[in-house]
Amino acid sequence: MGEIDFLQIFQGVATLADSEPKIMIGRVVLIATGLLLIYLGKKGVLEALIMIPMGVGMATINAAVMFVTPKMALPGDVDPATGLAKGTLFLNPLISEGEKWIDVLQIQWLQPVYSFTFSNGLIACLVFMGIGSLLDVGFVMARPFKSMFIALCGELGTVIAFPLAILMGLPLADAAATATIGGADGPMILFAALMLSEDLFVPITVVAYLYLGLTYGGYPFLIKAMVPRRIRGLKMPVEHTHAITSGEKLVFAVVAATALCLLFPVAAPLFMSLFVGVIIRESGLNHYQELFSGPLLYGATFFLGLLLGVLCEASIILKPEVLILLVIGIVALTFSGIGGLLGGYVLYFWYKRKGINYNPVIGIAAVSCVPTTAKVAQKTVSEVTPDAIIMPHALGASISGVITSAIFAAVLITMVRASGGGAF
Amino acid sequence: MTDRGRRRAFWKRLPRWVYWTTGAAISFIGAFTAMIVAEQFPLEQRLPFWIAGTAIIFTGLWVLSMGTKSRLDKSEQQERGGD
Repeated sequence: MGEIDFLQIFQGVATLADSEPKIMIGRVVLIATGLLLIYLGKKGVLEALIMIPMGVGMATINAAVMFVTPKMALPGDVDPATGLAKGTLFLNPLISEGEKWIDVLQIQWLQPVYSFTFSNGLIACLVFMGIGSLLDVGFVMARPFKSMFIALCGELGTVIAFPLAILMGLPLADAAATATIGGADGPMILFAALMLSEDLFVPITVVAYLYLGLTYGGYPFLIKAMVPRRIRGLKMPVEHTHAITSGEKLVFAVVAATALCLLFPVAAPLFMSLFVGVIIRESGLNHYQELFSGPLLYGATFFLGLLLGVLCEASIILKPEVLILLVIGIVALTFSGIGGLLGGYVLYFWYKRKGINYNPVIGIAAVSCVPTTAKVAQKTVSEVTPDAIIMPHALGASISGVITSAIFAAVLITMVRASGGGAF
Repeated sequence: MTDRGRRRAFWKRLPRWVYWTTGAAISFIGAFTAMIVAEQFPLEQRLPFWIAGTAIIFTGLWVLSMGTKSRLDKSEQQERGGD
């Protein structure tokens, strides 16, 4: 009986021991991070719907690295002495040659989902369709000026992050993709990053989702720092709740989708996906709405989280630029929050002249991330004045925030594309 | 009623489809014009036109939403009258 090579049996450990120190430590840290994400998702600190599958993906992919044949390996990862390489049976995001891609597609179990839904942005559009089918644009239509004004202010982070990223040494396309984190909209960030930054779309999207998960915990502190308690507790004037008809919402959605696609064709998939959800909701197509807002949205969100986690394999994600992304991401989201609150203050002083109350906390909801930021706004106000209702205003701002985020992403993609950059 | 009040009342009496078509026209014309004009300029000078286009689209959507607001105001007045 031949000698048993235990390192060949326990390949997860063997590849760990065989890695260079940076990758070895990175894998251990990423496994621990994945487990932490599952824990924080379960505890409700982070958004469970995305963080639990992401944590599972992150932990397992870094544990499941094994010795594979060269055709399954990442480019440049083949050991010339042994002819073996390290890889996984999950997916290979860096594959480009047609024949090799066909081989990988038949072996790596998540490769079809990645290649046919993730790398072309389809999964972002599916999530957007689901979100659209849950959005009530009536909240915007009842107060169009206020909602759209503070939504524009809530893009301050994107405006600041773009030049900052260039100053910190990122190329134009990567800087633009990173700046979209200021728009605080996960699927939109993924879509923009896929179009702009072939090399960094994984870390950009992962950083964005991690930070977006933290907004629920972080933004209340920003609100308390910027809005004194007596203003924070302001009650909004009582509104008469007449229903806005489906026809009115339908007209709004159709005009908005068509006009925005006309001006920004590069973001047309996002606009179309978002508004087709709204249109289906308002057209009374209940079976489609159930499909979009249920299986489609949750299925796409699950696979988005799982794939993001699986893409966090140490050799793929550990790049020097990740530190820059971490800094720019937090700057972008902080300044978007500040911009939204400043917009809220502008409206507060504007309406104060007319003797009408306007609670500036609504501004935080303009940072998009629907409906999390709207809930944060309402929760923070309710802590001071329990019977103050700002939710309808906050939802109007939040829904407008989704639209303005897509517009800013479109502007950045168009600029980069026209300058010869981008991944397509 | 003052002149200003009368003018305001006139605008609020318009049917919804007037707001819809006007708002849609403003949005489409704004988007189309901004796109055409922006393409005449080099890339680094296009941003103001895109922002202007977006502002016009938003203005169109605002006008479109005014149709809803005018209907809501009318029904509110009718309810008050019925009290």
